[in-house]
Amino acid sequence: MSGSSPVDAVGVVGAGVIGSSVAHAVARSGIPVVLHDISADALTRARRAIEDGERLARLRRGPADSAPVRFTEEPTDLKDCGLVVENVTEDIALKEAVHRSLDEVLAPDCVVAVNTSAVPITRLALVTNHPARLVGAHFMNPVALIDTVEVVRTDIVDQRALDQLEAVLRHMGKRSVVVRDEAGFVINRCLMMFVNEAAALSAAGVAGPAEVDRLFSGCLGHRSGPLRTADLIGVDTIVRTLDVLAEHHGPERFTPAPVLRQMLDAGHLGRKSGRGFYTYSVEGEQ
Amino acid sequence: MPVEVSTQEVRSAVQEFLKRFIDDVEGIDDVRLITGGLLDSLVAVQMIDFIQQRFGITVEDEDLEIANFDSVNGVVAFVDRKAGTA
Repeated sequence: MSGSSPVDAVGVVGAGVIGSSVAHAVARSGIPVVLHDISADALTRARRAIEDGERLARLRRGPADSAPVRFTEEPTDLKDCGLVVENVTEDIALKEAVHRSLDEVLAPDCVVAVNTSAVPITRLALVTNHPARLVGAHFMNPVALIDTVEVVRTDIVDQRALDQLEAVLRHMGKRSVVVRDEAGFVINRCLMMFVNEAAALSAAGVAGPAEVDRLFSGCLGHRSGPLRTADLIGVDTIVRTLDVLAEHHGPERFTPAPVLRQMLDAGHLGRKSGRGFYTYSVEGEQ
Repeated sequence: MPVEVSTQEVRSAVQEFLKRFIDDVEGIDDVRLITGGLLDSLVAVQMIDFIQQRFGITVEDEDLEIANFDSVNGVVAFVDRKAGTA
């Protein structure tokens, strides 16, 4: 955290895993947060997630003087926010609908950041009444502990919007790397190909998940191999992201490997379901 | 209520937990799990939940020191202190 806050409050739309983590990190930097979701259950889960996130951040970074998080099902509560970060599921039609509805409640000078792993920002911007205020902000989970953000600029962005987002990120202690807007940006266009190929060769019996990951960590120095990473991200998100990439860059490189769809159908989504490429739950454990 | 367990039982239980996330837990009792990058941050929180449930202890805010959770030996010593088994 550094200096006075560039905005009075940050709105966070979507209280899922990454939305909760963004809300926590912003609040931890001392900026008040309005966390909005249409689901009361999601907001309840978000409270717990933010508590867990704070324990983790305290463990790694020590105590902080956090600002409050207001949990709300009412979108009009976002009206006084200087920056809103949208985090809904990677479903383009759903995101378009959310951005149209945000137009109705946000102040004209509010900057809107889209937190997405693959959806092109320009496409979302063009369905809104204020296309120049949309920027991309690809945060990594846990947001409070990962200090670099992939920031995406469209060709139609207002420089002031980009400056505002980067000012908030600096206040949060984040570095930003700005890239041009294209589906998947940099991280996921590369990472999803690794995950897809690793899943396919594991299914073909070339190497088990542990062997694949051990090669990436032992030989290439990656902290986490592609299949551990897939379990962390969630197989459902992986498949959705690959579908978006296939739509924009062609099916040859990005069609999900059959094993990924089989895992999705079986509910083997990774850590969040207790089983993915690896097993995480133990019988009898809550 | 803390569950009565021996130091060895604590060590075995922690190692069993870690096997879900680390391929080989042999000889890692002093290895830095979190600061060394072996466990990611989210698993660290899961490990704290596991410790609380398994050993019936409460991890307070003031217990959230990296030394208590960054190695198998650190976790074992912490649980021993909290559960009074040392």
